Amino acid sequence: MKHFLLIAFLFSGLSFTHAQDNGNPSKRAERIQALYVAYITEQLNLTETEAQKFWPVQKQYDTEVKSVGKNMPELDRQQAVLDIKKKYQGSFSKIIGPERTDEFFRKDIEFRKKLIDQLRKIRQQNHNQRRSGRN
Amino acid sequence: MKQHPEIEQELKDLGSTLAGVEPVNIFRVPEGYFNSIVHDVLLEVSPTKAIPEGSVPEGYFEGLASAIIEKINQEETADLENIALLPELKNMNRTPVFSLPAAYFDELPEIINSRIKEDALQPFLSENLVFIRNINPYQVPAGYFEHLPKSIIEKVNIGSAAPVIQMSSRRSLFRYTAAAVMAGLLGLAIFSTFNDGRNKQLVADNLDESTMRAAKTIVQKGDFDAVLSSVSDQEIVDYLSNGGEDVNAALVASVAASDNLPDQIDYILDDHTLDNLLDGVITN
Repeated sequence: MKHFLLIAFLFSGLSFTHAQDNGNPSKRAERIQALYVAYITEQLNLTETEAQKFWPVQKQYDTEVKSVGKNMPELDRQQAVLDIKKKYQGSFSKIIGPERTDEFFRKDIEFRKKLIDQLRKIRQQNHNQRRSGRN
Repeated sequence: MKQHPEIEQELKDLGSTLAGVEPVNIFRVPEGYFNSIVHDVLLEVSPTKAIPEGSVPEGYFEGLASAIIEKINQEETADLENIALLPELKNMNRTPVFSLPAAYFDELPEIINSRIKEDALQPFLSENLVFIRNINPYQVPAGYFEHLPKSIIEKVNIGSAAPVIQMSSRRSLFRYTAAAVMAGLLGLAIFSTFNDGRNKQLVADNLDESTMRAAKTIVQKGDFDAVLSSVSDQEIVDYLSNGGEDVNAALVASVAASDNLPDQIDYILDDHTLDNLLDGVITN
């Protein structure tokens, strides 16, 4: 009987763990991902037909870029990202043309820069608030 | 020879015959006796009476020992017979007073060994055990072991029907219930695992769909900046880190490129101006 209870608890724990895996990280990234899609769509003037073909390819591209080792030396990491961009350049060009593909890579960097700037602003505001609170 | 009246009186009181003996020295030695005794003894011992110097008579050593012993015995006997002062000794019976059983010394080692064993065991045994120690308490009837297997088999076969224990239906029902519960849990866990993976895929698909809807809304409303300003610090850090970005390095670069860097005078007035600037951005 003790063995039965032990195994039952193990399976319950397993199910509970699986249940806990759902949720937060994806939800958290959803808003920024929506901002990214909106920004690129707006900047590249993507039509609905283009978007239906463009975003699945962009998703594969994004997955590969994120899989580049974060602990790599910076130049190697940048080179790996560059290789991925070159690899997908043809696929993007077939959908939106080479000029807009070039524009996509620029706007992709620009979006991250906007995020960085926003982050800097948030932190500077917080820092200033803390300093004024001390004074 | 000097007389001692006290001793003489004492001997008389005791009634000893010695009291009547005259104190005369009965031992007399001829003049020059000890000067010639060595030569005389040798002459007496030797059967030839004369021993030429440097030569030994034939068979001299073969009979020498017995001749010496015989001579000694003769002289001792003569001495005893010549003791006039002890006439009682002559009348003494010369038969040995000590006697031994026949073959005494042949059995002596065995007797000694058995006595040693008994003495060695004695301190460790109680009186009863000493009494029974040589008695074998176990006795087996004649032919006991020859007939033993047969007798055992006969006894075992008596009432040969083995007892049958009926399992209660309640116990078996409990086991079936436990097995069913286990199977259910196992199935649930497997279903949950696979279904969870499927759900994740669905969530991912829905995420893309919902992301696209949210993006469409942002584009239609034109509120990109408003939504961006509502995003939290941690959301941005997670997103950029997930994309392989070094957030701190990017922040420093952003600070350097921004328009609101401190003036030169600020660095002169406060040594910690740059530290404060970077602290405010990096260590938030």
